[in-house]
Amino acid sequence: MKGMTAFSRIGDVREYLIEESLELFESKAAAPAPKPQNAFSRFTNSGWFVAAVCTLVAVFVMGGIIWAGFNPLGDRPDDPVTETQKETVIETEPENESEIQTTDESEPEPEEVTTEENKGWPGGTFLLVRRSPDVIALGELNTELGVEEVGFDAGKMRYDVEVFVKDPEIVELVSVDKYAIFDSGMGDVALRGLKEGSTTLILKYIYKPTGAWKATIVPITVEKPAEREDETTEVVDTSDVWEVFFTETQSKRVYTVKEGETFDRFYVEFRCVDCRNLWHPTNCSYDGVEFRYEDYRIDATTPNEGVVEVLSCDKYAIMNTCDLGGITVKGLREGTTPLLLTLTHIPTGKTVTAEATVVVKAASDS
Amino acid sequence: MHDSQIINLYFARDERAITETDKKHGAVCMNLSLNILQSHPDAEECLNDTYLSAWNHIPPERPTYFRAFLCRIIRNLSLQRLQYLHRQKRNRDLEVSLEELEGCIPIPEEREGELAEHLSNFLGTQEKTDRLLFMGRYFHACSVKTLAQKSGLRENTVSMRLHRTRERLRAYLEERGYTV
Repeated sequence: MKGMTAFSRIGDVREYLIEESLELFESKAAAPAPKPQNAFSRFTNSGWFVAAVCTLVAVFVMGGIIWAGFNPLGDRPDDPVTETQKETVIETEPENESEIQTTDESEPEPEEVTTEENKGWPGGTFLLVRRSPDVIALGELNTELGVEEVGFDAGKMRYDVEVFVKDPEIVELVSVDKYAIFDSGMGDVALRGLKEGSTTLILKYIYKPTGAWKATIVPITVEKPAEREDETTEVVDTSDVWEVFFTETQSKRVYTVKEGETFDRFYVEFRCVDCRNLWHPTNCSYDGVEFRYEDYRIDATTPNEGVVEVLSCDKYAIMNTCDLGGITVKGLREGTTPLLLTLTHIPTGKTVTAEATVVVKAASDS
Repeated sequence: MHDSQIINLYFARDERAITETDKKHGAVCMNLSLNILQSHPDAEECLNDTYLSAWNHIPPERPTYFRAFLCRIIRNLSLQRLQYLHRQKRNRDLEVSLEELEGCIPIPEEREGELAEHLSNFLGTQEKTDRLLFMGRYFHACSVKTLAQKSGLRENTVSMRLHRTRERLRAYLEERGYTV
């Protein structure tokens, strides 16, 4: 997600630049005024002029070549084939590995493949291909295929990825997600192991506009998982690491809800008890203990259900936005009641509770 | 209502501040979020969160450029949401936009604040049209087609100008010791 980080950085530019950029959405101020054109410039700007120039150039070039005694349109088997021509040959779909030729003579060693833990046997389990050390980057492909990067659209959508399996009786190709391959380089060719053995996976990257391609050969081994002894899962106690609060500012712990209305603007914070840092999905480990959503449960309750009804408590929303939108209550009648938020560490059953006050006012009070 | 009057409403803790903000700047903010998320419900949620964030920050903050202040908040919230949704949904147009930036903006964590300064200074030295196109594409996440419509230029011209601006940005940053 380098691009995402770079994109975020643009958000840090000075505010006057942002303000100025909003002009784009207000008027056409940014558009340069069209220049007045005379008849000649109208002609030179037209498609006819460009076509005429191109035709003239082509005629001269062809004439020059023929004059020099070389017929470029003839298919002579003894014509020398240049490296460039080799690279842009469009191959028909290969049937097996022996027909695959990479366009890169200095083909790298086959990359190592690991497979995700194979819990089922046989079949039923997807083997996710993880290629190391890294996926082929678009820049690398551009270079290898002699593609000149032009402007905005020299991106992954100009490439296709085709995958072939040499021995389909050993492994079955389930799906290929080319965008995911270019994004993360892993987990994006799904295979199903059918029986023990080794085979080869061929990933073919095709540059669509020219048909130039490069193939990578990846060995695959399907193994029957060893019989395991019963494993005891070690429970990492992270219950003392995280706490949940209805903010630390006392004034924010009092929320006003109107009668008959739902309210979901509870300001919630999820903090590390040690360093007091706010938890965030991108900062999700503490002292090497990885935070896992599924280890926690958050419940919102109220002891006085006649005043307010808790409609929902969405822990993923609370944890993802780090602040709000996860708890929805409905004001039933005028009054005041506590709202209790309980964070439970499921593996150990430990809990932490936070409390806010909800004041329900008559709707007419507005 | 003028922005300063709206900000005064925030300072007075008057809930009309939100309504007035929505009336005046809701469309711009919504548009920005939609460009990033491509989903109306998600963008709406970000818009609401933006108002809440503005409510929480003003006071004590008194933004000089109120609209830019809101745009920055909704952009950050939308990006956060996008990261969360990334596995499920892909926004192809934005992905292209991200890819383009990979090659010209470095990611050194230790010089983050300095980089923002360099970006601002660089944009300040560019022609206005280039600057607006760059911000339109990489701040507002607009497609090239939309930029062409907004600016009155042809799509190819917009693409080429963006490409050249990125190249200049890369050179500018490399001169200042960044490795792109």
